[in-house]
Amino acid sequence: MKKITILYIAALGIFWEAVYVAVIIGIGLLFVLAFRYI
Amino acid sequence: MILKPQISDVRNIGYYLGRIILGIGLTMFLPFIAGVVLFREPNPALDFLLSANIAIFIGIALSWLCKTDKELNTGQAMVVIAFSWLAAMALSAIPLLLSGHYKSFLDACFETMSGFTTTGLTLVQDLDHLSRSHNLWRHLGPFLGGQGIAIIAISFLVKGSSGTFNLYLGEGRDEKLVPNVINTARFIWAISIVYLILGTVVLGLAGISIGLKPSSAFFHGACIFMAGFDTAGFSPQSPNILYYHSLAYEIIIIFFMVIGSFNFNLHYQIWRGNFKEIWKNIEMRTFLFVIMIIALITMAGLRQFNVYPGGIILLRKGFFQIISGQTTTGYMTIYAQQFLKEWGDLALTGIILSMALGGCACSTAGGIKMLRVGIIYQAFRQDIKRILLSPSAIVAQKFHHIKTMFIEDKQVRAVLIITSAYFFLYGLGTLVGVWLGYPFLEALFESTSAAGNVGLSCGITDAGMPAVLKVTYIIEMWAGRLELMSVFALFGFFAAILKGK
Repeated sequence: MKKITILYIAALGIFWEAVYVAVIIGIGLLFVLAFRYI
Repeated sequence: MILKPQISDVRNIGYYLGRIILGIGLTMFLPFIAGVVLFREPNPALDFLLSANIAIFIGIALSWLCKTDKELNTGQAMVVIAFSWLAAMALSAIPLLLSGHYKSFLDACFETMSGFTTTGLTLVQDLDHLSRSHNLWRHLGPFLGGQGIAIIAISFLVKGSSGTFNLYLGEGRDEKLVPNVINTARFIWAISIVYLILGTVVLGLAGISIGLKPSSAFFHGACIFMAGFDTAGFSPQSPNILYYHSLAYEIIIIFFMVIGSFNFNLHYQIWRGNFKEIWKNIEMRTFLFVIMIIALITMAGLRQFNVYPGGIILLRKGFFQIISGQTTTGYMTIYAQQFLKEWGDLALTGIILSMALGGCACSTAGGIKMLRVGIIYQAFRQDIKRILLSPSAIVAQKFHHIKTMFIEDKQVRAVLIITSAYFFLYGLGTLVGVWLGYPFLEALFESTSAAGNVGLSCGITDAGMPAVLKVTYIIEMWAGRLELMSVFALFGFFAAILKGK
């Protein structure tokens, strides 16, 4: 595999890891909203 | 019958221990060079030159005296690992003691054990005036220990063999990313270095945006990244993350804390294009589920006393601490005393639970680990199915971790042994704390934080606490990081010397 392809896939990997963290922060926001406004 | 260790066993242990100590000595040149070249602090830098020389001399002498070509067996490797973490603690404490910011050698040892095990509890005095070289060394500890002290030796100083794989196992890691253990160790470094560059740049820019000088912003960025990604929780300033007063900074830190608590094998899969693994993996699913349960308990507790009336403040103070506890980082956006005076027992219980359960296996995180929690849950499901279905039915329970596997009784047994050992460790520290006069919940909080390698504190950890408690927490941090087996192997080794035939 070419180096540029390896870098591209690794960057996509970091992107998906960031998406997972965004889901966790989203859960946090949902709980915050739930406990503040319900 | 226990066999008494032979001189060849001791030579084998001594040789590999010497190589690891040599590796620790060589890493001390990093703060020395940074102190002289970058920070222009010749006097603090000299502390590292002296300490590096001591470590290198001991390392070379031990390797030379015990020179051998024999491979390490599993038991010997575990003894090497248990000893090498103690040696790393003592030798790395020398430059910190020389800084004059620690009351005693024990306090400096506490700090280095806390750093190497990625715990983050601290006994430093006047942190805000500690030199940058010493501060860099405090933060390098988690970066080296998080990846694993043996990983340093495996990567650069010892030959690849079955013995090196045993060293790798001894540090509580049982997953090889690639068939060769040296390449596994190098891939772990590759992930860490890529994220170190990314983290330093992003946190540095965030630091500049909140008014730090560029040199300070990037220094803080590197330190905060190393202690955040390696789930340690050290900070260059005494108010910890409160110092920065920035929502953006806190969100970036949440990102690195969560990423740091991922299984290295998961990083490997994702970085190679197996993106679906992040959603299918039992650990990642358990992590999401546990976060929801802990958030429910903790936020219900905070709501009970209306601790944080605004939505954003609840996210920054409440949810940040939940993530910090769950990833076993220990970064704080509140003062330690606020846990006791404001949070209430229910919220405190939520945080204790998150610290006890911890992050992912084969990561820099501590605690029982999500993989074990997930397997225990699947084993429960299997047993309930067995009760409900016909006695002749064959009940097979599957789970996905890199590949799809069936739950086996042997696996569940191993998981339950380690889980029970963690509970024993949490209980041990709590008992010592209560014996010394601290209230039960506070003692449990601090003990779980130490044994789970978390670093959140409710105020017990302080230079003025009794020496017995300092030693107890050092043992808890050490045993918790090595997942107890290497520690048991060391005790077994001493028992064999005394009682073996």
